[in-house]
Amino acid sequence: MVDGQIINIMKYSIHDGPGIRTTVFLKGCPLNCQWCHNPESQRFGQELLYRPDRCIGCGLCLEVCPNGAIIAKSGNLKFLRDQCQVCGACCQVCYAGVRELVGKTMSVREVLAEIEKDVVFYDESGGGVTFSGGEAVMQPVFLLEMLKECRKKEIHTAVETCGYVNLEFLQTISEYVNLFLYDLKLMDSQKHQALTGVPNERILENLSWLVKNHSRVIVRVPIIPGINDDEENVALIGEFVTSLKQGQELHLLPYHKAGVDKYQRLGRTYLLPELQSPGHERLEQIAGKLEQLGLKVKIGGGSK
Amino acid sequence: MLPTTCHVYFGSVIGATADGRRAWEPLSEGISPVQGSDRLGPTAVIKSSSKLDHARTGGTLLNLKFTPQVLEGDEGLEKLVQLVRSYFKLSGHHIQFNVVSAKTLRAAQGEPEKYRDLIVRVAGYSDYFCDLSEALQEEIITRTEHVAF
Repeated sequence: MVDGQIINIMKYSIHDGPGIRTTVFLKGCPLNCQWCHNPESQRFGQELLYRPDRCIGCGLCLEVCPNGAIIAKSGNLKFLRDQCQVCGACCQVCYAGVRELVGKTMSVREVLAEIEKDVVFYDESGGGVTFSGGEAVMQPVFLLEMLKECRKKEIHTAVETCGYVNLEFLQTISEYVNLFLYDLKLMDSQKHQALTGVPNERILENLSWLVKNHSRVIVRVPIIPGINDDEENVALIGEFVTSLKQGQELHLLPYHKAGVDKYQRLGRTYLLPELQSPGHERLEQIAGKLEQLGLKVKIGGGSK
Repeated sequence: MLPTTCHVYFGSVIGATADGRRAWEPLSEGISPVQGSDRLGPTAVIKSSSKLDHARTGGTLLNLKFTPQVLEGDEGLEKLVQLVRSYFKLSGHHIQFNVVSAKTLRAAQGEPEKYRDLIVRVAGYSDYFCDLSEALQEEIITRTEHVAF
């Protein structure tokens, strides 16, 4: 049985599908969206998150690092990320929470045990489990196994996907998925390529298949001011989605800045530091426009 | 010992404890997790608390903290109701909620180790307050200050 690369398992998740849910974040994504709020989810291997503001200067990391990536300099500890081999030795001794390894190998059984802990809440609220990421479908064998196990236990399953995945995989898993949360960002393929790293044709084709062949799909559009909230893109998204299905459900997810300092913790540079969250008025306008085109629109990610 | 309603007083007469609590500091409130030890969210707290045989205690108190944004709208409230119902289904006895004020958030900035459990809603997304950047914390404090109770 194949293990999964997991970032985090989040309990009481209330924005990724109906009811009280557990969201399992799988590591690795084929897209590199510049605005991504979970940059630690993009790469496939393990990574080291580093928060020097929490450091108490105990020096334990200095002693255990086998690669000389931590040095003491005029009374302070300095991290040389270039030297770091991401072995995680420092994370095990750092109790101040400065150093944290992201990405953990977990078996189907281990993840299932975590999910099952909250069954009472799923039952009470109509919730379940959401597989997100990164891109959950990029770990198809593990995901399929997970979904089959959840089906056996009668746990409602949602899969959040960017859509840039093999259609056959999508078809294979779809039988075991109760709800798809399908992200749609930009209709202009060139712009899509420039800002996410990949063109959008496959994403649109896969969505067409899914909406026509699966009983429950919610399209999710992140609203990123100045990037995809222009009239043209909104109209094109609306027209495309309506052409697939009249009255299709669509959720607008407002951009937020929660991920900005994660880039720093990963030793990366955030390319869009000036970006602000869209105002409520703007969101209402966009929602109104999409509703006119015949879609069922909601602002935010939870649902009934 | 069940320090319901008097966790501050009990703490003030008890020396340092092995869990890292310093002398004379408050104990936890009732059966609520020790300050800062709740890192896995409300469902985990509820499940742990429900493992007690509440019938033998003469009454328990479980306190959960939320910022107003987490409970926003019908949906946020509905999910709170579902939490309560689940707790009772698991034979829990008494649960109550603190909707925290901007003052509490300020305190959390000062002493994050005591407030690691504080969950805030950012924007269609929830996270631990103490894990957020200072700028974002400020933004949330400003927002919280504008919510009237």
